[in-house]
Amino acid sequence: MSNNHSKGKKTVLVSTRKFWWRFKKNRAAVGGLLITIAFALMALSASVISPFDPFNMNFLEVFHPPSPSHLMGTDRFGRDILSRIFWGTRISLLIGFASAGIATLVGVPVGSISGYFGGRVDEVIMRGVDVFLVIPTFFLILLIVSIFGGSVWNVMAVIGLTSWPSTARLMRAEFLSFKEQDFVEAARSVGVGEFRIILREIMPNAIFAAIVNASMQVAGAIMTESSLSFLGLGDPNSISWGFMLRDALESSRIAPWNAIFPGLMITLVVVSFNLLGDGLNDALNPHLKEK
Amino acid sequence: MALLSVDNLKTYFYTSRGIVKAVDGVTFEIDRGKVLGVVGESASGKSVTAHSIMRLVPDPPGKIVGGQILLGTTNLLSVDEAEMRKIRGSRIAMSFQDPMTYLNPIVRVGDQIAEALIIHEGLDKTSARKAAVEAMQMVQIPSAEEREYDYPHQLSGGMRQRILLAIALSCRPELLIADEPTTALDVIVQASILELLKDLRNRLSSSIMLITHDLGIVAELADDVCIMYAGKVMERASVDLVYSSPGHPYTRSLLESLPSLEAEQTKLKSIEGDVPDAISPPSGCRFHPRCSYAADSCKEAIPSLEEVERGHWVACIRYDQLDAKEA
Repeated sequence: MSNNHSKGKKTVLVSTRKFWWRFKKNRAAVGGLLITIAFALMALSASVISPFDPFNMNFLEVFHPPSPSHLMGTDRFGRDILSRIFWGTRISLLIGFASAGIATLVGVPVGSISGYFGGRVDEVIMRGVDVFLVIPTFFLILLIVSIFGGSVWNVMAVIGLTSWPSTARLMRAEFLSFKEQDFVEAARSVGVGEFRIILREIMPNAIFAAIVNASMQVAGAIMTESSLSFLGLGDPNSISWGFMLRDALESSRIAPWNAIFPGLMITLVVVSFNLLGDGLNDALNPHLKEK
Repeated sequence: MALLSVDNLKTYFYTSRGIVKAVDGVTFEIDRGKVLGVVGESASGKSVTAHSIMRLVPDPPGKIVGGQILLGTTNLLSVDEAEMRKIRGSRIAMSFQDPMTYLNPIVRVGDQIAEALIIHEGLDKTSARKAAVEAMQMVQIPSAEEREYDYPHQLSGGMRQRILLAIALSCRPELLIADEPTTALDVIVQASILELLKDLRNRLSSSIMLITHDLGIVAELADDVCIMYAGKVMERASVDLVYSSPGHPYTRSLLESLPSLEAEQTKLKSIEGDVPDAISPPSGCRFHPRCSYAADSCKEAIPSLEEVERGHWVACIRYDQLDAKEA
């Protein structure tokens, strides 16, 4: 015991270490984290590590199978698939993180207020959330994107703004249970005001659920973006894995590598974010913490 | 003059099964610098009384339906919520029974103590933390400068109870409501917390409302005692009077149920029966079904709190006949 306290501030490290120790026990989650980091590095250094210009067409090298010079082969315009995969990581991660971020930024405050205050406030907010939840989200996204166009920013905003209701629901549930906790009453008994209780007493306890949820939402958003691009509604000027899949559709018999690699990447990134979220849940969720 | 005077307080809970009269006409006073022990079984209304004073009764279903609570000259039942928030923590503070659940598990204890200081004294973070360490020293936490960075789970039960007291006392409230401060602790830690409360009583000028079901603690700490049963005050007097000449049959049974060092006892006495159903309490005196002195008149007449001698209030219609029967 006393060793931990030799210097007061060390206790921060102790709890961070504890988190890491719990996270590490989940092998799959560590794998997910490593793959996520790899994708992030790919996205950041796409311009450096890509062997070719991803837009550069070369009609002498159309549909080349994977070879030492083109590790993942070329597509119907002779563009290097590996380079396009690297560049595609940017769009996928950008849209994934941005839409999960938007969903969290909207959903967390809405859900918190709804759960904490309850009563009529909760009633009104939750009926609004229900309206969002009963609309088939993907078709709503399809509709909006086909009206307003499929630029990266539109796609991001639309995915983010259609996925916040689930975040709000989650936070509401967290707040509903935390607001009944004794320590909230204790805070009230020293005169802490409502918003301070929300932000300083309950939020630090409830935010873990939102973090875990956000990680899952990144995976969901990447899937949605790929689906939109696959249907031809994505941003035509950007390189997206979904778009590459669509391109590969007609030629999938003669040049299957055109479809295999983007498909593999989508699967990999979605699985890894889900594993990561799962691991975060195990390590952060206070309900699962062992004594 | 009394610091806190509670007059005919009624706090009811409106449930689907009916109205629970948790506190039904409670009257008492606490003088400045004095300790009032509020004693009663579970469900006797002691905690609800405390929450009513703090105005923290959950509404719905609870509601303070009548009475008056005066803190100094402030009528606590007529101030608005914003004003009440300023009073909580600075003029009245409360410490709680279970030191684990009443601390935020993922906020450092130093920050939890500093919270009240930031709100009420307008201190910035650095000076609030300094004051928090002082509050921790006041409740005798060893090496407080290091402990302030701890999370609740790193501290023992006794230390956590001290932290709760430090939070409550950080702004030097005029009244501390200590809700069963020793119940969740083992005997040895109980003793040290008691010593601490005694020490604080002597050093601070705060009054303490000590809620407990432990008559031993009351004897050690309190100046006055208020015995509650089923939402009503049964007896109210100084500690000496209550222990030397208990007036109410309920008080007598409570005292008789204590183990004695002198007399040889093989079995402890207990009070037969259970605390009555709060929704449909017994008619007349609420204690009559369990009272060994009860007569037929007890089933009808509702006894009021009468001053039987100076400073000694008893709510029993048969008070005059009690000793005659025994003799």
